[in-house]
Amino acid sequence: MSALPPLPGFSNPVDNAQAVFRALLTAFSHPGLPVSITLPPFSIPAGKFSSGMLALALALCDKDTPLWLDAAADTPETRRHLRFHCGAPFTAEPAEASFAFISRPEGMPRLREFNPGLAEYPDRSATLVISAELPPSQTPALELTGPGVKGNNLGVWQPAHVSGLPTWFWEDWAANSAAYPLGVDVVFADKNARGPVIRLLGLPRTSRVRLEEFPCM
Amino acid sequence: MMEYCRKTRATSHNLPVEAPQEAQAARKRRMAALALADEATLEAEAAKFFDSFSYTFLRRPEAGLVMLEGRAGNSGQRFNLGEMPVTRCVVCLKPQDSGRAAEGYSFIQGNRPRHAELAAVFDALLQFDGWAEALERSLIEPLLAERAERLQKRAQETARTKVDFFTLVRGEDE
Repeated sequence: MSALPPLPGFSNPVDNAQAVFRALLTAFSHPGLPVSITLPPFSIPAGKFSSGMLALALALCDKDTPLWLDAAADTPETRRHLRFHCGAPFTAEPAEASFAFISRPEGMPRLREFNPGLAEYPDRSATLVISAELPPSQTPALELTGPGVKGNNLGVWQPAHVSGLPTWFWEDWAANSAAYPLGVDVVFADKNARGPVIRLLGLPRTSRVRLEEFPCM
Repeated sequence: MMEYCRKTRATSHNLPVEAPQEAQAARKRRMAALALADEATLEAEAAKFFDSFSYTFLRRPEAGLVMLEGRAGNSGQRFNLGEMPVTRCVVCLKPQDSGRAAEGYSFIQGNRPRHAELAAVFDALLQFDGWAEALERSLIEPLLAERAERLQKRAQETARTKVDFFTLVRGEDE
């Protein structure tokens, strides 16, 4: 018998994973607009993985998607949980990862260190799941432009307000969008969302950012 | 039960250790016996004990397809023979008289969720010494014996229909 019994995954794997996937599609279709869904309660292993990060991992990862975890997220419990429920391999190189899970964005690698895809297959790029603070505030910290941002049908567009990112992030993001069709996609998972509620904010590579104020840059 | 698992995990710091080869072979034998057993036999055996422990699903029974591979003449190139439905299940189980929990695994041919659940429960129970001895006698050995008998009977039936062609002479030498 192994020393670390794993915890159960989603209570209803198919439906719950589909709900998360649907939420992610909505988040990527309306960049900058937080999307929240409530799932039936599910177990979260000890460590820095938030419920949103874990829900995305359970919904998206399988044996064909190497995962990269930042040092803070990388605990034996989390690894065991992801290996058991997703069967996904882990990689130590950001460049080899299909999905990167970042629980402490302050210390994350630069965006150019992740796989931007190939000119023939831009879809083989990495997707970054970043745990950040998404306050429900209306403060226009940054303004996005690009497909899906204007004229969306979900009501008044709320400018994204993401805090806790490294100072170089938006500079790197500009370079990332400029490399279109190559580049990484980012989804922010609210680290303050508790329990089975998850809040996501999509930032696909098509979204360009215009900072209205430059906080400590 | 879920609570229990969480506690065990939090207090143990060592990573899973490779089981010794003997123990692994023994478990393989038991898991094979359970997987090839008749569902009704397992159900009847389970009915005797099911009050004395509780278990929770780590992975509910789920059916999928497994690609079978073969080799021509058992030695040639590998080729895909076809897909087989397989049901798998993982439970975490804790008997009332024991302070620890065990994980039970099962992989069952066909879409048989109940069989997968029962086999996983027995696999977990068999990891407790107290249960293992009793179950080995009352379940595993009869199952293996029954299967050996069935295979032998079929081998005999097949052997009866065997045709040897060495009596055929082509007559060219005469």
